[in-house]
Amino acid sequence: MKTAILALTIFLSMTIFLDIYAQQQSISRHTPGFPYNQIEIDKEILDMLLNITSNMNMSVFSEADINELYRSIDNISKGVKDIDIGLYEDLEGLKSLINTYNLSELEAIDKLYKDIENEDLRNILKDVVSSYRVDRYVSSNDIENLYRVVIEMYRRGLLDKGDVLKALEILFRISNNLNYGGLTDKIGIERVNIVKEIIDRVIDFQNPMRYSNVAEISIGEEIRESSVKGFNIPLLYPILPSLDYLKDIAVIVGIAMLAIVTAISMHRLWRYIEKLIIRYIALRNMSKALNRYVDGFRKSVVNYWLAIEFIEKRYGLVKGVWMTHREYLDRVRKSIAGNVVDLFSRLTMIYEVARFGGVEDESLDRESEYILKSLGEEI
Amino acid sequence: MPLAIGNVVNSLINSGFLIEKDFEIRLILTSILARGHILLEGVPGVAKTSMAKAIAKLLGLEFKRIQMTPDLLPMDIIGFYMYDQKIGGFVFKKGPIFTNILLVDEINRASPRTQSALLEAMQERQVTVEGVTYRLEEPFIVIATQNPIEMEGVFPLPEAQLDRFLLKIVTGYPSTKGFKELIKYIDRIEVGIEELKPVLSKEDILKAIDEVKSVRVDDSVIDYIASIVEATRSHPAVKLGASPRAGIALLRVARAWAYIDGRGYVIPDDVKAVARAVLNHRIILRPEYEVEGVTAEKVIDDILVKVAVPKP
Repeated sequence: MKTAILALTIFLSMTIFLDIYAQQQSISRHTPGFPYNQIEIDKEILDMLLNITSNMNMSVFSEADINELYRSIDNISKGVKDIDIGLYEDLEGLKSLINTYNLSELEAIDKLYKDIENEDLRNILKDVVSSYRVDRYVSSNDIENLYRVVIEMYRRGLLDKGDVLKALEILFRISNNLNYGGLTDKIGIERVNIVKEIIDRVIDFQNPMRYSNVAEISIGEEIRESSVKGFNIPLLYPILPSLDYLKDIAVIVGIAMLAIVTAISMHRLWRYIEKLIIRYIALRNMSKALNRYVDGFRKSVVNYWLAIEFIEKRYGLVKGVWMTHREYLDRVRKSIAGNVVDLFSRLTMIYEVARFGGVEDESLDRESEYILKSLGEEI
Repeated sequence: MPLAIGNVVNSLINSGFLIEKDFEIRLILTSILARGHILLEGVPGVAKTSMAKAIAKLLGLEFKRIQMTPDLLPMDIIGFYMYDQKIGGFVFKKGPIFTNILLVDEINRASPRTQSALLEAMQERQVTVEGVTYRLEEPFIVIATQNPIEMEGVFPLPEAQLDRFLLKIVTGYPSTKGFKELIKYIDRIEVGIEELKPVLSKEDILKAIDEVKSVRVDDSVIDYIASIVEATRSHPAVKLGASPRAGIALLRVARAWAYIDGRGYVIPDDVKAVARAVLNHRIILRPEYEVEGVTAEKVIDDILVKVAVPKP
């Protein structure tokens, strides 16, 4: 039992430990002198991304530039896919956004709208997008209200950055085309902020410096040791994919239950095997050996010593050579409970009377036989 | 009869007059049934006299007490001839030894001469004065006490004489709980012991003494007793082991113990129960072990956990 509890504790501890360090993967670690093993990010690409999202002056960028930007973001996205699923989803949102820069206004809004994964968000935007598509009047208030709803949802954690970006892009484009200058700027700033947040996370992913400090260092170039403040601990174990917290608990509980059930089953199986061994193998051998030793003694005396062998093998209560039969009975009483003790107690009394009292009684022999058989069944 | 003896034990234990003295009471009764004398060792004030008195009363036996002093003469114990003017001749004035239970307080304060006279009477169960032999009335049991602490003005009993005592019972202080109980009920206890009524008659005791002789002892138990006695001789801490008389004593006491327990046969447990009391005054330890704090009781305990009990 103690071993089973120990094994279970070790198992649960290992599971929790692995789970904890699986959660550590988003913490950037680096020791000066060790090479970075991260995705290379080109500063120009990130600047370009910021420029694109900051204004709509697409003429600055050629189609080739946009494609290059898309490929770069795609590369980064693939690089982080197995490591940071949140960042990966954000970058996928960013890719959808970039994808629309080569499209016409309506196509772009259509595509962005379809790419939104959150159904609630799509429903919220549906009226405005439909109205705009058929040239129906869309007021600045409607757009502003939608903008506030989207931002509120994002702040409450109901939306990911990708969906927010797509929604803001739709509202930005509609507002811009309808010449709602102030509102357009407001949406644009928010959109840029979110892009910046994504870029920040990309930079964070590569090194511990914030994008706000990036102006002071050169992005895309290897960071020199002297520019890194502090001391980061390298990862000493493989990064495991992070699990959802509730899933973790479910898995741990499930495995623990399985372990308990397995332990109980194994214990019962062993008890059964042990019983068979004692009953059919050990008893036969003991009986042979004992019969030679107690030749000439009454059956009740022989049966008493067989019962002792039983108890010694089954419960590990060895009868010391110096221990009298009554002392041994006391020991058995203190260690075992139930019918076995009652039976053994009666057998001890029969032994005492037959062995030391010199009583020669067939009925005692028969009773001892019966008790021995019952003991075998009990054990 | 074992049932009646059991009643004596139970009466004393249940009366609450002798607190925490169950084992000692059983041993004294055992010794009476085995016709042996008892050396009761203990500091003053641990109910030695009360025990002897209470048992004598319950058994309906005559009880006398002698306080040993260095100037006590053998004649003070045994008796003497004195001139009787009425009959115009000498008559024998019996000493306190003519009783059933004789409590000899502080036996080691008596001179060796007096001790020898007493011990001889104990052994022979008769006294001879001026060429006339007087048999002592059965049962005759001497319960001698001695204080283990005092060394000044005492005459320790020689080993050969110690061997004449069937048992040496070492009695100590009661536990705190027992002590509090004793203080609380002391008046009731004193009156209670005085008012004890006999549970058995002298004839019952004599019959029981006879019956003890018929208690069965299996050969394997005799082997066990012999092994224990021989083990005392080969124990490294022992200078002089137990004598054959010790083996005989062990057998007699084990028989009586079994009888009191209501059995007609001896089991190894009986031997173990009485081994300490029978052997502890018959073993002489090596001084180097005594200095280290080894006692005869410890040696016996050590032997009892080494000597094999009868098997099967």
